[in-house]
Amino acid sequence: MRITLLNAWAVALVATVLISPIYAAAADATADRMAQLEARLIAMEARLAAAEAGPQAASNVSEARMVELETRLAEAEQETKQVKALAATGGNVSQASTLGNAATFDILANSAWRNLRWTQAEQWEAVRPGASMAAVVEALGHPPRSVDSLKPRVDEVFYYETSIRDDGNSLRGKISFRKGKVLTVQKPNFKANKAAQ
Amino acid sequence: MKNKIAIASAFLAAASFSTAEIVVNEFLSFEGFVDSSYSHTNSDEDAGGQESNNSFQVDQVEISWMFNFDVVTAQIDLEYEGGDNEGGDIYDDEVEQAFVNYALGNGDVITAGRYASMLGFEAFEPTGLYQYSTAYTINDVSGNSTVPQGFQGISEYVQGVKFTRTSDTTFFGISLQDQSFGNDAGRLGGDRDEDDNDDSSYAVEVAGSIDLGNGFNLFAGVALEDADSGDNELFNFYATYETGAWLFAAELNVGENEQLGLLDDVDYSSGLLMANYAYSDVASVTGRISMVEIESGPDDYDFKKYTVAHNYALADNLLLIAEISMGELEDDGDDYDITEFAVELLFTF
Repeated sequence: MRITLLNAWAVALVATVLISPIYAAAADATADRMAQLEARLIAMEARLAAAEAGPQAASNVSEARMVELETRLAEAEQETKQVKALAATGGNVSQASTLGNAATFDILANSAWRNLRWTQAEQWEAVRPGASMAAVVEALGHPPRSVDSLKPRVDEVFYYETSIRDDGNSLRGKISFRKGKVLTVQKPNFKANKAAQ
Repeated sequence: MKNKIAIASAFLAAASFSTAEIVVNEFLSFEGFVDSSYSHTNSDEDAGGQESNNSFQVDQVEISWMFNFDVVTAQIDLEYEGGDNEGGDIYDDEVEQAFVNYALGNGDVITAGRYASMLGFEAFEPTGLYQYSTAYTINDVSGNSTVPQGFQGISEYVQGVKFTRTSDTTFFGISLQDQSFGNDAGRLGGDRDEDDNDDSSYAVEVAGSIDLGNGFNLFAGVALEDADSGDNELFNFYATYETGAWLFAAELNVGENEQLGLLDDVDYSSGLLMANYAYSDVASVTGRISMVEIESGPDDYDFKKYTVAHNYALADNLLLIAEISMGELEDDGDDYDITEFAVELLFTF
């Protein structure tokens, strides 16, 4: 078949028709997975609450079972955070799901969690003046950008930004350090960002 | 600015990686700076009728590529360094540093390649200085350094292999390298010249520092060079004390250049006293007194320099420095003064 403008348009049209359902299915799969995780989390929370409820329940639930439930709950909470962080990456979710590989999804979720957990408001609760640099990295991950400050009373500044140039719809956090301790914290404006969305 | 406190510079040299960076991905990040300045120099030296000189240029641009592969890390610094055309200097584009680190664990690191010397209180880059100029030289009205010919100062960057051990309060490093004073660079060992001496060209640097607590830091280091042209050595000591908004520093250098074929060796000493006071969150002032004495047989060279500088950070990564320095020189009975005024703009990323 000769390559003509008409043929090219036809191929592009067919490709679009074929690929679109895959992306749609991928997005659906991600949504389903998140819904399942949320449902599991809610169920476990309910069971844990029931186990902690009264003496009758306590007598029926062993300590080992309680520990197991708490562990699974913690894991589920962590996984939910990871999925939220992955969702923040946008296009990567579709790519992962397009592969149809749960392992790939998990790798990306872990990577997203490692790099984007600072986009979760609750992760900033531990970041206070006086906290160590290691504690900040533990809570927020390594900053996408940092600079040795030229200001005399600041040693280093961590910048957590989704975009430098997009003023209206980006998250921006800034932490300055002096002698390895947090000096000032400028948290991202999560409320304004949610409102913008 | 203040982040290059003496001991920190030693630790940074050992660790080889600053944490300031723009992260491209988990394996690669960048950092760098652009340094530009205007300076005006006056002198009462008889220099063919020229009594003053102006300079306005981008002095240095540097981009560091930093690679991180777990226990193996590497850094490549590419720089442009502008000289003063009127003084005959050239414009340099070069690989300033290129080295790889292998972390042995517990703060032990082996580094190989081209890297910065461990010696000296003052940083080799403008980002690590507390003022515009360095302590032991000043440019004359021709744009040339006033340091006399024959004197061989320590090289800022060398090629070799070094071992460093860093803990929370101590640093130790030993480096086997091609040179320390610019002789026989790019060569390690071997007798290449035609004389009867059993030469072997190499250099060794050993350095250590300790954080004594309460803001006190001490550093001591030595560089020994065995070159075809003779043996050279430098002993370097400095101490820093930081309290509140104040930083004080004192440095002493003692060295000798042996120059085979010349009648006399060159003995020299130099030192500085510096104080930096951060009077606000964005501004600081620096005062510094420094001196150099060089003797080679009957020839003497004495240099004293007085510096006052004001640093104002327009942002975390943009610094404006204004400085005035006065140099007093006695070079074989020829006495003259040089005054230099400079404004520097430093941008880091």
